[in-house]
Order: sequence, then structure tokens, then C-alpha cells
Amino acid sequence: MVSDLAAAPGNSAPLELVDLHKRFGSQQALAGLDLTIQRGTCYALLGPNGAGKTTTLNILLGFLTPDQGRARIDGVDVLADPEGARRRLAYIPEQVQLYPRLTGFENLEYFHALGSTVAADTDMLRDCLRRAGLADAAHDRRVATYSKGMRQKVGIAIALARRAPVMLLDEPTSGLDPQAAWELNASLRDLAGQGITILMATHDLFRAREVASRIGILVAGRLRQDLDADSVAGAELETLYLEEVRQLQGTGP
Amino acid sequence: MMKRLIAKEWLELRRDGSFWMLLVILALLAVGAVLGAAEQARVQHEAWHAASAGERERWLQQEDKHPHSAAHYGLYAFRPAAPLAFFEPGLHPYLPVTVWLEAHRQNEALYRPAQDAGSAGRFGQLTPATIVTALLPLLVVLLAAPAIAGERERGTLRLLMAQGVAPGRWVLGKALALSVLLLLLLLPLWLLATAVLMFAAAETDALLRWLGTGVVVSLYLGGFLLICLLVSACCRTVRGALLILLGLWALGTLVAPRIVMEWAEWRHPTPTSLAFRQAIADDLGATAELDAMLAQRTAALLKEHEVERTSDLPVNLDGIRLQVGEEHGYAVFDEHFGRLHDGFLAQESLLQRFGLIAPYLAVTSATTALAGTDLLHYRHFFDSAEQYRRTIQALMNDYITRHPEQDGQRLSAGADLWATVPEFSYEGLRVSNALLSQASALTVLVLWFLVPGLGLLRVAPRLAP
Ligand SMILES: Nc1ncnc2c1ncn2[C@@H]1O[C@H](COP(=O)(O)OP(=O)(O)OP(=O)(O)O)[C@@H](O)[C@H]1O
Ligand SMILES: [Mg+2]
Repeated sequence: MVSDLAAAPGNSAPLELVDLHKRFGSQQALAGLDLTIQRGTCYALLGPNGAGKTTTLNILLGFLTPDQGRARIDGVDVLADPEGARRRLAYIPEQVQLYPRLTGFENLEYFHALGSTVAADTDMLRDCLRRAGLADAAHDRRVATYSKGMRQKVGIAIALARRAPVMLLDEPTSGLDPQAAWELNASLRDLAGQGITILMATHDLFRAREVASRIGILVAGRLRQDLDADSVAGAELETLYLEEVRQLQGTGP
Repeated sequence: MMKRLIAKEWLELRRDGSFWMLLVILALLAVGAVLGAAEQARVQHEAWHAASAGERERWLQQEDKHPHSAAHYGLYAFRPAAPLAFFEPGLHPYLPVTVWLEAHRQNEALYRPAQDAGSAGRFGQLTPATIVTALLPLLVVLLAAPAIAGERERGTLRLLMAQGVAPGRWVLGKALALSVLLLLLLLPLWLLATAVLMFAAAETDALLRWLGTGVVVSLYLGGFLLICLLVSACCRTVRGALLILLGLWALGTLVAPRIVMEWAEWRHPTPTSLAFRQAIADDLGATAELDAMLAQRTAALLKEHEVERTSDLPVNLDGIRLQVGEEHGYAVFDEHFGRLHDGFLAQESLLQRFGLIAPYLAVTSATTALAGTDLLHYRHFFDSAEQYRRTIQALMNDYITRHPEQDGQRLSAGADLWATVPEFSYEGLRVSNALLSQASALTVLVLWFLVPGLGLLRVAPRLAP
């Protein structure tokens, strides 16, 4: 149901980040990040706290301007046309924030109506909520009564309903119960299979290996490793990660 | 998109209990104020009718007497209630309701309260107009301060922008949604007041004034809404936006008007009533001018009737003397009252222009003028009453002049003469006069709406999440 919309114009990679630099005062958040992600890839970006993961996503969303370098989404430069770039994105933030006085369904309907070019009917939107793991009984309750994980699920539904060719996720499973996390991962794998390109920032090495087809390790604003998920075993990945972190930060994390 | 935005804002408000409470309180307050004021206006109008008719009767029924005694017998002119005084009493509580019309004197004493209270006194009064122009902006602040800053603080703005929503259009939608909400809240009240006006059989002029008041108030509240959105767009938190906006409100509504008013009174000082009366008395006492006027008039009469001595004139010189005395007074009164009024009006026009830093002054000035309760309207009434007094004097003195005393018998007139005095009928100023006098205030209000609007148009497309 998604593949027709996922087609990238031309033959450029859906996500292209070239030599990104970003500094906050004395803090160098990104120090020359290069990253290209091919169509249909689910890419897990691993990194310790403060590595620059959120900063990277913020640049792709057009919320931050890089000091140097450029980024393209589906061939659209985020600096030249931030709104055009955003139209090709679906995004799930670390903490999904909704309107507490509206129900989960009303929130989804509102965000979708305002932001999407895809027309939606009630059935399609309810289906998105279900696929995100929100029980039918909760759809029409006010978000003020939701748990953190339930809000997260509405956020996922909002992203799913967009049917965008590229998805950005920041710690998508934070706050989800194990079953919901498992369902989300299954969903992501499914989407990647349909040609959606996914970039997901995470700390969770285990889940990264489980869902991603490629894994990058970001430390101190630079991509240290860019691995094929199938080519590394779990234990191997952990050792690699810790090594990279220790090497750059001098002391242990 | 706009429809969705409006629907969502409305839904959120509808589910907000405190909003309903606020609304109910506001509605009760406003409905009470309008109905109470309308009833008061009706009672006043009846009282005015009764008093005017009674006074006319008293004049016509007076016994036979010397016409000059009749001129001293005097009568009251009653100021009719202004059409929209129920909404904006303006200066009316401080201005006299009656003008006493008698020979030789213009009643400066009756003018005293206005002079001493100045325009400063009218602040702090809870009238329907102050509810709308001073308190309603607080509601606008409460509604609009969180509009953008709140979504930014909560994080929904981030998610919205990530959805590809164009921030410029979103802000426009917010402005539209809030305007529609405010309109939905205020329109019923405005219509209720309109119905009350129509029921009171008000003339077209009053309805036009009411329409103008609606436009002026909308401009003011609209400007307020745009400023709220502008501040909200630039603030990180709702707290910050509220703090700034409440500060602006207090400054613009409570502090700045007083300062500007003090300054206007200092810039265009008006005399105290004591000094004012003294100055008039001094000029009236300058008899040289009066004597010259009298001599000139007598000479003209002698020439006209081709006689040598005044005793040969076929007219009663008492009448001439009285009339010349009146006319000498007119020049003195006109000069002094003209200067006093001009001083007040200069103060008012300063206030209008200083509306730029305190638009509350501009909107108050405009609504007061539209309500017909400002100085301009009062001056018009005052001048008409004075004109009427002069008509009476001229009629009485003319009668005396035409009736030379015979055999030393005192002249006496009766009902026939009294009836030649027309009834005092006052035609108030038209709405066009009111609008013309408010050109500065209206310009200020248009700027007050346009400037923050343009600011918002610049800021909105570059909104930070
Ligand atoms: N708005 C900002 N102002 C100043 N410094 C910032 C800002 N945003 C990020 N930083 C700094 O940039 C660096 C990278 O931050 P970023 O949020 O991208 O890390 P992260 O990889 O997402 O970390 P985490 O795993 O904790 O979410 C950090 O050192 C952070 O302190
Ligand atoms: Mg982060």
C-alpha cells in the first residue's frame, strides 16, 4: 500500500548527508558527518548520549541549520527547500507530544489533515492506530488519560498515515512495553520491505540488530562505523561500540 | 486547513472547563450591563421629556410682567441623553444635565465639574465600554498568549512542522481561528445591544454610531490579538508570553493613559474655575467698550429716525441698552468659553495622537465620540443652549424697544409674548461630525492593527519549532 509513494525521483539515495558540521558554542555536536542510506534500508544510528543523533535528525527536519555541509532527502536539499524536504518525511520524536484535550483519534486526524497531502478516511486512520498498537478502546479517549507509551503509539500512527518515502525516528521504542516495541519493529521491517527508507537513532544495540539492515556508530559527531547488520554478531557489535566510545572519550562511558 | 484549525481550537476550548466559567461570567456581566444601561437610558429619556415639557409649561404660564423680568425669570435647557451613553457614558457623569438660561449671564458655574474633574476622572469606572476596551483585552491575552508559545513549549509545534505544515499558513490559521472564536463570543452581545437600541426606537444616526463603535472596538481587539500572537510567536514559554503581554496591557491601559493625560493638561493648561470667572468679570466690567457700543447704536438710531435728541426717538431706549449690554457680554463670553473649550479640545486631540503609545486612549476617544458623550458633543449642546438664550433676550429686548413707556407706567407683557419664544429643540451632532473629529484616533487604530499584522507576517514563515 506504500510502495507507489515511496518511489524516489531520479536515482539519488533517499538520504544523503555530506560533511555535516554543527557547533553549539564550544560544543562540537557534529564534526563532519557523512552518511548515505539506500532505498528500503532500515538504518540504526547508535551512539552515546550527546553523540549528535538528535542534532542530525534536527538538521534533516530543517529545525537546525548546519554550519557546514549539506543534506538531501529524496533528492531535495533541506537548506534550499526545508518544507519540500519535510513533505517527504515522516518523523517520530523521542517524546511524542499531543493535544491532551483531544482524543487519540482526533489528534491523528488533526495532524494528518494539516500536514499530509494524502487524503485519509476514518478507516485508514483507525487502521494506522491499530498497526501502531493502540487498542480500539483507547482511540476515542482523551490523550490526557494516556500513558507515555500510548502517546508514543499515536505518534507512530501519525507517521504511518503519512506514507512518506523516508522515516526518521528518535528512540522510537522509548516508553513502549515489550509487546508494542516488538510490534513496532515488525512494522518497521515491513515498511523497509516496501521500499521505505528509515533512519532511527537509538541506544539499544539489541533492537538495532533485530530490526535494522545497516548499523552506524556515531561518536562525537562523526560516523565511526557503517556496518551491514547481518555481518556482525550481537556480541561483536557491543565490543565494537564500546571500543569506539572509549577511544574517543578517553574514559569509559 | 483553516477549517480544521478552527474546528480543533474550538474543540479544545469547548473541553476546557475554565473557559466556560469565564464565558458565563463575561456573558452575565455583559448582558446585565447592557440591559441595566438600557433601562437606565429609558428612565432618563422619560425624565428628560417630562422635565422639558414642565419647563416649557412653567415659561408659558408665568404671570404678566415686564419682559426683562421675564428674561430674569429664566428657564432651564435640558441636555438630552446621548444615544449610546448606555455603552460609553464618557464625560456625561461629570457634565451638567441642565443649562440655566437667564439675562446677562452665561452659566459658567455649571461648567465647573467638567473643568475640575478633567478627563482623568473617568478612568476606573466600570462601564460596558471599559469592560470591552479594558477588560476584554485580558481575555484576548489569556486566549492568544498560549496560541503559539504553548504549542512550542508542549512540543506539538515541532511535530506539526515536521509534518510539513507551512508555519506561515499555520499562524494565519491560528489568527483566523482566534478571530472567529472572539467574534462568536462577542457578536451575540453586540447583536443584543443592537436589538436593545432598535427596540428603544433609536434613529439611524444612533445605529450608525453603534456600527462604528463595533468597527472601532474590532480594530482595537484585533490589534491586540495580533500583538498577542506576535509575542507568542517569539516566546519560548507561555509564562514568558503571558508576562510580557500582561505587562503591555497594564502599561497601555493603566499607566500610559494617565501619564499622557497629565502631560496633556500640562501642555494645554486650562484655568481653574475661580480664575476663569474672575477673568470674565474683569472683561465685563470694562465699561468703556460698552459705552462706545451704546453711543454708536444711539447715533445710528438718531440718524435713522432723523431726529436730534434721544427723547424724540419713537423707541424705548431701555430695550436698546439692554440688548447692547447683552451683545457686549456675548463677545466676552464667546472669547473666554471659546478659549476654555479649545483648551479642552486641544488636550483631547493630544490624547488621540498619543494613542500611538497607549492605543487605549485612541479607542476610548473614538468610542466616546461615537457615543456622543465627549466634549465636542457637549460643547455643541452648550452652544445651542446659549444660542437659545440669546434668542430669548433678543425677543424680550425687542418687545421693550418697540413699546416706549407711557405716562411713567411700567411696561407689562403676557402670554402672547411668552408664546413667541420657540420651544428649545436640540439637534445633536451627526455621526459624520464625530468621525471627523476622531481622524487621529482612527488613524492610530488602523496602525495599531496593521503594524503588528505586518510584524506577524514577517515572523510567521520563519517560526522556530
Ligand atoms: N540547542 C542546543 N544548544 C546547545 N547545545 C546543544 C543543543 N542541542 C544539542 N546540543 C549539544 O550537542 C551535542 C549533541 O547533542 P544531541 O542531542 O544531538 O545528542 P544525542 O546523540 O541525541 O544524545 P542522546 O542520546 O542523549 O539523545 C550535545 O553535547 C548537546 O549538549
Ligand atoms: Mg537525542
